[in-house]
Amino acid sequence: MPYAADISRANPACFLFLIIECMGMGHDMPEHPGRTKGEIASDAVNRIVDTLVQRCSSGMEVRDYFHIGILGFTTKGKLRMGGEPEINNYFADTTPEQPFLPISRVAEVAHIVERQVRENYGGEVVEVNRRMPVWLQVRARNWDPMRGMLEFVRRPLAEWIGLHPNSYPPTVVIICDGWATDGDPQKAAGGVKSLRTNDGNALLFIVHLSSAQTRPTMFPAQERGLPSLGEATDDSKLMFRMASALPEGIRRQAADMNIPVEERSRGLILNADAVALAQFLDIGTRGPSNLR
Amino acid sequence: MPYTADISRANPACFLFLIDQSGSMTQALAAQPGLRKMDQAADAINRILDTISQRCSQGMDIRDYFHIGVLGYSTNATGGPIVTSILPGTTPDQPFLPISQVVDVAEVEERQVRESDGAGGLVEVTRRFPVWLRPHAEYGTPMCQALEVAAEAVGEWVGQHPDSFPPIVINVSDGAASDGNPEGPAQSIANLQTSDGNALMFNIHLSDSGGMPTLYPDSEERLPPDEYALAMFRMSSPLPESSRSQAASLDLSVNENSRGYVFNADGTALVQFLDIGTRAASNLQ
Repeated sequence: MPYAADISRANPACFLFLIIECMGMGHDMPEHPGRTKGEIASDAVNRIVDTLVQRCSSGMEVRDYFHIGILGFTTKGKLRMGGEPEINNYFADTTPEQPFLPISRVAEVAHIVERQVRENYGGEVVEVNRRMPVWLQVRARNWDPMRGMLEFVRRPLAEWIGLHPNSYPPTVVIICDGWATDGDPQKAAGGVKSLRTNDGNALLFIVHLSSAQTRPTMFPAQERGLPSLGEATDDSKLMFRMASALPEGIRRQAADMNIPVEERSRGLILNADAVALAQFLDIGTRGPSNLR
Repeated sequence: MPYTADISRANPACFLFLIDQSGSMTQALAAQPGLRKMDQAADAINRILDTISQRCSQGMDIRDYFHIGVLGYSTNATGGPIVTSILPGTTPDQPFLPISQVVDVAEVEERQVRESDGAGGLVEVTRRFPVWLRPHAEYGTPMCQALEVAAEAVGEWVGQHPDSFPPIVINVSDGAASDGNPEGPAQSIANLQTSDGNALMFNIHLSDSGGMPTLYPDSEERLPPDEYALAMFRMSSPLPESSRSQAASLDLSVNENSRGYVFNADGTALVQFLDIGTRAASNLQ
């Protein structure tokens, strides 16, 4: 059975977060006036990485069960079509070609900021100040090189797999707000998904952030009926095809959290708001859960 | 000029919602697992009733600017039509309650909802939701029968409120009538009138096939060549000016010929449609 590998320090799992930092990410989220898509995406990724650190913590020690990478992509030029990817890597001591850090190092390179957070104390929701780690701060400019991005990350992922052939396969999460402006990304997506360890193929999950006040579509199981994103013909269907099917372990965790999934559900969310994004990242990173 | 009557407690306006409760309403809307058309319809109706009550609120007081009715339609296993009046204490013949009583008969549900914690995470919050319509779906779609029942009730209401803003009938369905051509019964609703104009008949078709909704079409050419879609177009009233300006404020392109009709709607289009349709009556005094 694939996607069942034990996760250990010898056989860690890896997560690669890929953020499209195009200018649309500078627009406000309709469901969250005054907050841009980029801010919402940054908060969500920083939070899930912090959560992953905590999943690896044992007392004061952070065990290197996970390797993490965070890369941002925009285009070099201002022209809409074409455009070479420009890459931002968000961890000290990494390069776009070698983006991964073991999670103990991830914890060390964080900036710490104070944030107001709403928490529930015995049924009452109060605002409290918390010190929170920050790695990603999305920039928003130019266009969406999703095709070039997926072509680029194939090599670092393949190298990681070469070093960890028996690990749980890499989980790649794209956060975007629309369709590629540098050509059709489907083949490049296929290239990433064709990479494999002995435990199965790399997983490609896609988050599309909402530009409209629309209900999110989370973990759809069929192309038919998907809302159009209004950018390219069949854009939502093509994203559906690019996204990997959810492994059984993730489906089980989703069901435990009362998130409806079906056997053929894909790791895709369309028109995500902040709540759906946080849920999706939480569930999507629960694949490698057999920590030893 | 029609559709300009002031709405007051002496001359209230009225909304009658018709909800398709046929078996196909159990299918998913916009391919979202676990979210069925009947859930979306119930959610949207509960939301709009709550919104309407807020439009009528003055401090603690809810002014009876509106009379509201909600009819559900389906059939039994042998195809016999079932039209039920959803608001407690009403009947299909007399489905209306003044909005203050609508608020009184709501069941208030506490639900645990996950909200953003403001910093990338989630917080569980208890929220109170008023509920009138619960998801329900079985068997056929007796739309003709529902429209006939609606025409009777609206006819009686018009007799009692001859100078009111004309009644607005809003039909939410996901497919063709199983009991004939609904254009005739819809016309008998649209023929009813107050001194301020003819009753308004608005229709929305919920889709499970996806694709872009057709919003407020101004001619049959805007629609796919589908007999059902075209019939629903013909039985939909043009949007009065107040609805058009609400639509325009939402960046929707509408003109004097635009009908109160959405084909192939998703959940977002449904919520927007109910808002635009009920904004027709907005001169609250």
